[in-house]
Amino acid sequence: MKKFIKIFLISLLSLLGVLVVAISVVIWIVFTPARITPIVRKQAAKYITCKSEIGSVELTFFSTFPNFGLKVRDFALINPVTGSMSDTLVRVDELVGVVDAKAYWKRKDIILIGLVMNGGSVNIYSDSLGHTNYNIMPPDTNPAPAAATKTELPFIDIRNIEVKDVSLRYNDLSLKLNTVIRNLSAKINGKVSRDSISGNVTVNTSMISIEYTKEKLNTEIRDLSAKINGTVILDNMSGNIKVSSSMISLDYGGEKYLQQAAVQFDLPIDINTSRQFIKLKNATASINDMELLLNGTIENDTVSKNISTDLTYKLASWPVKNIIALVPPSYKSYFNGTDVDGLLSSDGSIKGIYNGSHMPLMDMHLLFEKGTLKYSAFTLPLHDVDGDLRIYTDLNSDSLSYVRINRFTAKTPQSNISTEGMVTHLFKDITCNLTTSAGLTLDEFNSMIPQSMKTTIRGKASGQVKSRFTMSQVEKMQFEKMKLSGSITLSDFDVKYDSISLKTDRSKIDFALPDNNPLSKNTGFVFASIISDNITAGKLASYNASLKKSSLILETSDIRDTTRIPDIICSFSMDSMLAGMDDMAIAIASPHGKVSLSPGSVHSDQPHISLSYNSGELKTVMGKTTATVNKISTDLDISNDNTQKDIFLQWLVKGYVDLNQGLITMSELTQKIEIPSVKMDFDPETFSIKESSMKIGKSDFQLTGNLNNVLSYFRGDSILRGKFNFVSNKTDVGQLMALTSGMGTYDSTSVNKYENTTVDTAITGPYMVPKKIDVILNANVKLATMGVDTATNIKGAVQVHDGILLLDGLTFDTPAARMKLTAMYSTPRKNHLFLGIDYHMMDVEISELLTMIPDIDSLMPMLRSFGGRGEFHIAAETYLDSLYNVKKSTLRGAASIKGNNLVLMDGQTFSEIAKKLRFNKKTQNKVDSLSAEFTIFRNEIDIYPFLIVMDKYKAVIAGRHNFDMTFDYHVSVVDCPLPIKLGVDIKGNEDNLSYKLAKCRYAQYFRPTARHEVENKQLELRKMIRETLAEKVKE
Amino acid sequence: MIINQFIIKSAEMMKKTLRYLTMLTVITLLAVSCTKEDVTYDQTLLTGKWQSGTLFYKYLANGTGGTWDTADNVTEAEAQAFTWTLVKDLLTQIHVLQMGGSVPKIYTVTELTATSLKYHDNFGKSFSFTKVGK
Repeated sequence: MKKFIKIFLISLLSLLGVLVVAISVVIWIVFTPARITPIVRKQAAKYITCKSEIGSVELTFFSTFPNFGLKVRDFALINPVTGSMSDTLVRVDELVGVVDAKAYWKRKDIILIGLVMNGGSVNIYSDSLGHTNYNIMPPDTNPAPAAATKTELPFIDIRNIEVKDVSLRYNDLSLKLNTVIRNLSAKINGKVSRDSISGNVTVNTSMISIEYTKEKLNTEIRDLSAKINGTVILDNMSGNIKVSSSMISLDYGGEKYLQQAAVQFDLPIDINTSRQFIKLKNATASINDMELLLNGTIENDTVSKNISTDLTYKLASWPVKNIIALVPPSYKSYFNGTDVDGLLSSDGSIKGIYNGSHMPLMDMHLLFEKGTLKYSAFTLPLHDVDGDLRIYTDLNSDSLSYVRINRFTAKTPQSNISTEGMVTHLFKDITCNLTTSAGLTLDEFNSMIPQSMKTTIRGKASGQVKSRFTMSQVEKMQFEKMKLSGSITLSDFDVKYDSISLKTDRSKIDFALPDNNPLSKNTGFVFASIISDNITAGKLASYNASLKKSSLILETSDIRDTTRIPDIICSFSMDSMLAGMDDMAIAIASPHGKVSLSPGSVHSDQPHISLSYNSGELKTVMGKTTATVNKISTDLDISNDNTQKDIFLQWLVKGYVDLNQGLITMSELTQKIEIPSVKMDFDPETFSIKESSMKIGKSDFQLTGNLNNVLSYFRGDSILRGKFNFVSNKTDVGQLMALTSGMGTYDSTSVNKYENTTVDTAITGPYMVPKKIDVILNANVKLATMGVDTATNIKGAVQVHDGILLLDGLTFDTPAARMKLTAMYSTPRKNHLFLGIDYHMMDVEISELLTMIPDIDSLMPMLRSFGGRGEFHIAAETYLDSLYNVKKSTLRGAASIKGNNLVLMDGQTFSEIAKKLRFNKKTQNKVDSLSAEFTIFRNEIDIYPFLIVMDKYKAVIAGRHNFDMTFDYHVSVVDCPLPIKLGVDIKGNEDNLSYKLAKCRYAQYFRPTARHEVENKQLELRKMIRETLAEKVKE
Repeated sequence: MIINQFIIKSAEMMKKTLRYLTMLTVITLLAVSCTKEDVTYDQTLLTGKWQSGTLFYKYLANGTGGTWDTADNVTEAEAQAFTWTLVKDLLTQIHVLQMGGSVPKIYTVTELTATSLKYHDNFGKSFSFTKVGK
């Protein structure tokens, strides 16, 4: 066996050696380049019309083993055409071709085993008229064959076509296309049969430049490495295009769309050319390492001119910065001031028909992760920006299209925000339906507030807002059409605006726009509820307020509508409220209530306000004035009449007030004002006090009654009328007068006629009686004091009538007597005050009378000399200055005194008179009767002659004394034991009286038949004085 | 002698008698001459405004009037009312009180001309006025 093998191998090697020798002889001796080259040149000339250059042609075997090949060196086709960059059409350094001659000889199959083009250039040119430099074939002179029923491709097997380092230029001026390919290396193999083509192409080139000036398209591809393989069977093409490395620059229309972009793609693709159908199978494409995965089909229906798509895609983790880098320069401005990064992933599908009016349905899922964003207008950098959204659209129909935001979150250094929801109506009016949550640290937003606003904000705000709005609504600020609701919680919130501050430890704000459950049909625009543990607000060195555990519920109509009065309903409650300003402060426990504002029912331009308020203890301090109320309840209904100029008339109030346990302390009052209870109803015309009790110092009273015509009074249409019942156990009249001093009065001499019209409890001037007021106070006072005077059981009416204070028929008891007093006090002007009295004292003890009314001693000093009881009537009036000093020139008065069984008090005056008249020293000083009248006129007091009967004497006394206490009296003894009538003149003053006997001046005074005319006149006057005084008592 | 003496005495007595009669006549005449005569003044002269220092009186023809004293910061418009009568030389002013009642004042006029008014009361207090207006 070994021997056989040995012989076989030796034979085989010998055969091979002979074969090699034979081939070598053929190549190097028979078919030398010198012999072949001329043959080729000759044959080439037959097929090529242009000039050709062939350096050498040689037969190869060993380099193309096991086939023979033909190697051509320095091959060139020269076809100069005007305009062409070069006259050389093709120049090849080396061209090697290997063809399977046996196959072609036996089966007519063209099997190109190898074609290698090594080094060279191709320059293809076509001018604008279609003259080309590649039209180098001679015209076909053979007659055209008869129409073939069917042309079949010969079988072609391209085993290997290889191009190395070839430059290609194609310049077509008619197409305005200029293409340059440099350093092209390519490998092509494939087969072409009668009904199929299959092959592989591998291409590498250092640069491809395509300039398509018609469309202003410039493309440059560098370092292209591509592989194409596939099969064409009739209309069906199946293959794969793979570009593994390339750097592409693309200019289109002057815009640089790509700049050295690394483009790779791998496209497994099936194509049906008759259907214009393309199917991608896991195709991938990437730009700058951003990979896109495509699957699906595209078909162009040339009949219906529809492009049917059924594609799915997927991209994963595309760096947003890289995406933005691909944005053409002219669009870069949209990103000015924006620095954004992150990873974008997406998957989805594109299905449906595309034509001029229809777009396929796109279902895209976008995922944005690890994003960052810096925006110059938003000074806070965002990080951890994550988004998950789905875009579903046909780019045409609002009914189909939407964007669903499954999740969007972002964080600032200290805050976070997230939102989710739907965006619909993408093409007409974008509609958002979003739910947004946020946790904001407000401190970091201070940098966004302009310094000119002098505002700082601190604390945290967190909450959730649901919103539904359209972009047009936002642009037009149509809040009435939006739906916004949410809840926001403020923690350690502190905002300062200039010197104004607002703080809250924790507040929760709920709001809804619109209000789905409004309290009234007009307050459905917005609802807000603010619940706070503690709120403090204030202005530095000015005012401050603090609310604890407060709740505020607000509903309004659209308050932006300035053409109408808004409807507002506000309910409030809180544990306590404190407020202060300057030296004023107020503290309220448990205030709660409701305020509503609405247009007037008759005149819609006139606001109507209603207030319902209740609170516990209320304390106020204003300077040295304090007020405390244990409980307040009020219900007010306030209407506006904007046709009025006076603000008091503009606001008409109706309602009630209920106060309990009030206490007022005022620096101007030495005593506290206690208000056990006040219940009053009021409307614009009527003020009705149902119940009121008050204690002022030593005074206490209950006041009930009505005040009418209040509105008419302030309109100037009517007098203010009132009727009250005043019941008091004890009343200090002086204090009450001080409380109402000065209302509605003015001094005619004052420049400002409204001067001194405000109520001023400080007694800084005279008491000015209110004008245009008719108020009756039916008084029932058990004990009243005014200065040192006291009175009990005071019953009567106190009336204020248009500037006049009238005590009308007031009856009362004093220690001296039962009295009746009518007094009038009016104040025409501040320094001209009228005081008049009509005073009747029945059965009065004269000494008590003098004690009670010391001024009577000045008027009638002789009364000091009498003791006992009598009756006294006086009517007097005078004007006073602003300090209540009597203007003596205006003093007028008339008085009458009558008494029986009086005792003439022993004294120096009586002794002197008795001595002069020779009275019996044993005579008792009893005066049987006394009836005297006197008048006061300015500083003169005239005592009209009156008769006194004492013992066996009758005397008439008359005279005058003045306020300077000088006297001029005369005593006529008209009846005495002596047969003479004596008279005594008493003149001088209290310290120096002179007593002189004189003629008995009134000897016949009480004898009618003997009276003279003057005496009659005096008696008439006495009668007139007495009767006019006595009439008052009868009344 | 005796006759002469008688005559002389009678003459002396006659002289005394005549002296007494003369004295009586003189006294009688004096007495008669001292009796107050009725004086009547024209009350139309009284109407008008009269001033005495700061004190003013205004008499109106209808028997009413007013008085005021500017020293007490009272103006004419604020004058206090009275009624007046002038009967012969007796001027009666009745000042009417707003509260009811009246205060009569009686004066005796001693001079009343177109420009001057003088009167006194029963207590010897005199007043002198000058007319300052109608």
